[in-house]
Amino acid sequence: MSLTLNLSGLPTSPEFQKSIKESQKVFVYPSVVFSVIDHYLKRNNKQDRVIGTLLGVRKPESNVVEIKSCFPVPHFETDTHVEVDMEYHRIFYAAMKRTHPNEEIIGWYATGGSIGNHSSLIQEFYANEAGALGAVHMIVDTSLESKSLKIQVFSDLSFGSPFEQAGGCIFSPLRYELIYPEAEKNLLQLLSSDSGNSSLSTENTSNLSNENPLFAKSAQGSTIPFISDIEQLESVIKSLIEMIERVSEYIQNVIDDKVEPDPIIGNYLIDMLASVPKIESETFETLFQSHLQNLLMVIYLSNLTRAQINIANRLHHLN
Amino acid sequence: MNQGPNVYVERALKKEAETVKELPLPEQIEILKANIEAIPKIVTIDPIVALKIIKHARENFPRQVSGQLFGLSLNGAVEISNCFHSPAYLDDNEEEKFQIEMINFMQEVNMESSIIGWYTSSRISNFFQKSVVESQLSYQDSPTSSAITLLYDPERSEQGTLSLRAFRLSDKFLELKNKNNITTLDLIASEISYKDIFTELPLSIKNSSLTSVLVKEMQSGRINCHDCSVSGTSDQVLQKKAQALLENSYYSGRNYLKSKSIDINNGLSSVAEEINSSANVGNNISMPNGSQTDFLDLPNNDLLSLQPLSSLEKSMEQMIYAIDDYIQDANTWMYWKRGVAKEQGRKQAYVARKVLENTNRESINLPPLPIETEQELDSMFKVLPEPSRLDAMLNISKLQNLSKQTTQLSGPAVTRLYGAFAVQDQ
Repeated sequence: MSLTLNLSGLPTSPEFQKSIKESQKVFVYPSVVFSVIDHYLKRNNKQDRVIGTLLGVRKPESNVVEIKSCFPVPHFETDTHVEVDMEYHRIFYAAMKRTHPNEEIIGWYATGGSIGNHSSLIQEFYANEAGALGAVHMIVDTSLESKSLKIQVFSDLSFGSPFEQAGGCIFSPLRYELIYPEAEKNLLQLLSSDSGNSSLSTENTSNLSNENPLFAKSAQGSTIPFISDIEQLESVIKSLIEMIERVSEYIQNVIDDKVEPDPIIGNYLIDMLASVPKIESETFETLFQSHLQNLLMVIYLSNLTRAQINIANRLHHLN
Repeated sequence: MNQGPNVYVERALKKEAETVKELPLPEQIEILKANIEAIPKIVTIDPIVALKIIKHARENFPRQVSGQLFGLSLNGAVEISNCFHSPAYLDDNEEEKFQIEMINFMQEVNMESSIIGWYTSSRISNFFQKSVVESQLSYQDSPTSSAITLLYDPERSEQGTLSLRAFRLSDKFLELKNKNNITTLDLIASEISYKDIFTELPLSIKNSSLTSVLVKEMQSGRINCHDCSVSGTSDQVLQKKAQALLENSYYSGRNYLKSKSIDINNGLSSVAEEINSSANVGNNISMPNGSQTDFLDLPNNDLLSLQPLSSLEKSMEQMIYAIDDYIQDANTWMYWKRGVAKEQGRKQAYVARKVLENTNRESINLPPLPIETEQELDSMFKVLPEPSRLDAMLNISKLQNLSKQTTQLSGPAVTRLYGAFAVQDQ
């Protein structure tokens, strides 16, 4: 049997598809990856991988795809057979559409280190759902087969003759980037403080952990308490001091001829020093004083208010 | 903050002790134990819950959003493992249908499907409202129910501090809930103060091993594949980090830095910048050079910026409004009090007149006129009902929380200011 490539209809030819897909940019919100992990952790017994639908926004003019959210879809597969609960997918999508009307189907995710057995079949289904611009396939290596939590994003290039139903597709990797908006960044920072600040988290929960096994730090993960503004600031200042120390150690080493000086680092340091604005010391003094006084005034007034309402409350309960 | 729940537990203990007094002692202890354990003392959430709430709130900002929390409560620990947003603009019937539908969906993919509370996004000043209290009441109908409200403040969170707090109604307040008009006497009798409407519970995030791996990978930058190759080696990553540093350098316009390094075409960064800026609620505080890096830059150095005082301004503004409301409320109450006193005076004058008339009649040997009973008098001189004190209480709680927040915000601001002072000093 010979494989015939139909090149007559140019827009669908592989070359054209390839050119579109190479310039396509994918941005992934961190919550999507967390959802996939969550789904994987709650999979059924003896289930190797889980799949789900990716939702997001397409911007055709700049060829950008943003993957904003996702939801799990139940499926069942054996070596020779695959079933995806399409009904579930459709109803859930309709429900999602009610709260996020601008999100559409972008593609699908699966877990695993590489593209699975029946992926081309599932891809075909999602390509139909996603419309003209094609579906994106994301795989997350949740079982850490490649010794890391590898995330890969693919688009498909379909091939086969238009006269035969059973075509196939090649998954070609896409460039992608995770983006971190401010609020997510704060959350992730809290999560990352887990190992670095573990003493802090155990300290707060230790008195509870004695009586309640739920709080005990287990291999399943750890709990991190929320921290206040000032604690957060403290950790940032600490890391800043650490950075300054590292830099001065490097400089000292360069001065002592222990380390080969690097012009790039040197230039960068000059940049950094120049970024401190030069202000007349008198002007700065007045600015500093007035700003400080404003702040102290605010603190004083708000404390006064609190004292007042406390007195009011006491009066209330006097008789 | 740690003290709050303990006091709460103690009170509940006392109350329960009274109700089971009649039972034999071992049974008493048994029941008490079970009940005490059921009261939530600590809340843990899954990162996915926080992320979903953040996303939902941001996309609908400045509209307030809400949704359901799913999870379970065990031995006083509430674990929230999933959440789902409620669609806006639905009537009650439709919403209920939607909820049931969602719960069925959750069950099918092994998600936790028992409702454990709800979340809302708003400023702290908008939280202390009758509507919020009522919604929480609909979840928390008994003192032992473990329903939780999560409050997420999108504005503060976009400006540096993740503000997510867990609340539930105190049992003192639950005792009062059945009265639709809370009077001063009720307040005195129940010994409730403005601090006791809501109890705040300590909140922490539960990180699974896999998610901590994910965060570490995000920090290292290994997770992004720019060049389509399988996750880069550590050398490549270091190079990329250095590149990102240079791109964000103060004089990034001057090319001498760039030319020395390998030219990596970072076409993505401009688009990413655009997306990033549209994603942030507080656009005005974006970084000057739009520092888009392909790795998670931690710790968040934006915290050192002197800018985020706009939220302080806002909370002061809110405080002024709250004080205005407070004064207005005090005035209404005084007005009511005066009205009551006036009616009381008229009643007394009426009775005195009758008594005088009777003595007069007695002197000219006429039978005395009957004097009305207390009840009849009350119906003759109508006393207006006292305006509900609930609103005033909520307003005071709001004021208290606002002033606390103001202090919390200005503390770091002073520290930052001294930081700037130190830099200028050299």
